[in-house]
Formats: sequence, C-alpha cells, structure tokens
Amino acid sequence: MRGLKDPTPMAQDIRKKKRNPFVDTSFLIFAALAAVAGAVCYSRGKDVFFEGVNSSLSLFVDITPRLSAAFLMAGFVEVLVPKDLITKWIGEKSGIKGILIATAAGVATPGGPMISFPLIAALYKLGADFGPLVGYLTSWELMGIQRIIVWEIPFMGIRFAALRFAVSLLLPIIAALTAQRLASHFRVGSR
Amino acid sequence: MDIPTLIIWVLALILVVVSFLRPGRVYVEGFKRALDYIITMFPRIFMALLVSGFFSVLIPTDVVASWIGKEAGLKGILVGSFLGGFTPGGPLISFPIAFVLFKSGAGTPALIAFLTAWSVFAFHRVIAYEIPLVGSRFAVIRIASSLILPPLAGILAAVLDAVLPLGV
Repeated sequence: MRGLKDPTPMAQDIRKKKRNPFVDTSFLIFAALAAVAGAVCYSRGKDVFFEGVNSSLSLFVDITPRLSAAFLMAGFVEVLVPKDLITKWIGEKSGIKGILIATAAGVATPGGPMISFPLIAALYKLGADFGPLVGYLTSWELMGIQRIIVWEIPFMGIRFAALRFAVSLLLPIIAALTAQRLASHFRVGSR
Repeated sequence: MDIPTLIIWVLALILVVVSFLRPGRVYVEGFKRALDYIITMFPRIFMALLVSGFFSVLIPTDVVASWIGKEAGLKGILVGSFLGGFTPGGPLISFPIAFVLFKSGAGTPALIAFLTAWSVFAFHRVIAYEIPLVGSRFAVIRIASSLILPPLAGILAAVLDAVLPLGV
C-alpha cells in the first residue's frame, strides 16, 4: 500500500501516481456487477431488462449536469482552500473550543482521504489532543461540504442533505468528547 | 434546469471567478483538477448507475419497505446503521445504494443512519488510511466513540422530519 512507510505523504505526491483514467479495479468491479445484474434482469424478461437500463439512463441524464458542476467546483475548492490554515485550526488545543474549531475545519476541508488523513497523522505525531482530531475527522466524514455538494445533493436532493446536515451538527462534538475520555482512561501503549 | 443543479453551477462559477482574481495561475491548476475528476469519475459513475438501475428493478420494494421503510421505526434505523457500517467503498458506491433504497421505499431516518454509519465507520478508509497513517490505537478509540452516532442521527432525523416538514 502506498504511504505505509512515510507517515505524511503529501497529497500531491499521491496525485502524481497517475492511474488509468478509464479502467481501474472499481470500474471493473462495477462492470462485472452490471453484467451479472443485467443478466439476471434479462432472464426475468426483456421488459425488466429495459426498465433497468431506462432507470439508469434517466438518472445519468439527471445527475450529469449536477456532477459536472460539482467536479468543476471540487477542482477549484482544492486549489483555493489554504491547507496550512486548516492545520493551524485543528492544532488548537483548548478543550471544547478546540473541538468546535476542529469541527468547523472538518466541514471546510475539501478532497478525499488522501488530503485529510496525512494532515491528521502529522498533527497526531506532533502531540495534538484526541478530542480535536476525532472531532475534525468525524466532522469531515459527516459534513464535509465538498462531499455534500458533489455527491449528496445530486443523488439525494437538497431537503435530504439539509436534514442530514442538521442532525449531524452535534455528532462530531459527542464523538470528540467521548474519545477524549476514552483516551485518558486507556493509556495503553504509546501513541 | 432544476434548483440543485443551478445552485451547484453558481457555486462552481463563483469559485472559478475567485481563482481568476487570485495572483498567479491558480485557475490553471483548478481546471486541471476538475478535468481530472471528470475524466476519471464519469466512466465509473456510468457503470455504478447501471448497477443501481438493474438493482432497482430486482430489489423487491416490499422487503425494503418492511425492513427500513418509514413504518419500520427504530428497527429501520438500526438496520440502516448496520448496513452502512458494512458498506465498503467511497461515495460512488454508497450514494447509488442510498438512491436505490430511497426509490424502493426506504425511510429518510433509516437512510440517514445508513449514510452516517458508512461515513464514520468506512472500513476501507480505516484500513487504507487511518491505521497505516495514524495508528490502530487512534482508530479503535475513534470508532468506539462513534458507535452511537448512526442510530442517534437516525432518531434525530425522525424527530426533526416529523416536527419540520420542510417542503417536499
């Protein structure tokens, strides 16, 4: 696996390892699944098969304009959001205030796990508190604004996304406070 | 063009304009990354949607509805949390699944529990990133602290959904 030896590989380094843009493992898995599911549908009758194709195509037509804009946005968010500022925010140590700031930083952090995890790893090794780190990661996973705009709104709609965002607001803080308590109870081994 | 599409386009264009106003050639890098996303993601999305389209006609809606439908209540939320915790892969997998379940009669609280569990437990991410980069002690403590989040999100969603029937 990449990044096993170096604890903080920079996102750019990983990005440079170009993968084949069209065909990779996930594409092949989906293609195989589609072939199997398509065959099962076909065995139940031609109309069942075409119903499946139809609903895929109409969803594809629906979300293509949204996803195109979403990916355009994703590219620009990544170059515009200053990473060092986010690092400074999560490094903030002061109890509940630190957790709240880390939660906000999680919402603002764009990109996938190759951006957020190296950041966490570096701060963890520098001795940052459990609370803010868990708060940051949970908030990024649950409320990362980029994922909501790129994936959730195109698929699930604004109402669903807004409802989920609203119920998620307190969750990173709960996880962060629990983690802080657990970490101080179980001081086994080293960091 | 519908409203979500319009909003995302407006946001994207604002970011493009902002990056043009920045000194240097930030916008070139922005376009490059956007193009990279589009080229790599669309073939996969197409395949994923094909899979979800076939599944949507194969999955019996009454089964979905009885397990995680609106009437399933707390059971639906717990089942959704459990399913989400064991769904591997990125958003390309989870959102088409959520969409198909939604079309097949799943309730919003159960789906929110599903997406919450998938987000915080995501074991592909734990194995590929969290344990190698941050360590297993961190991962164990974080996951233990997150165990109640998916059911909690589902219950809160059920309450909020009932109290605030916003729009559609």
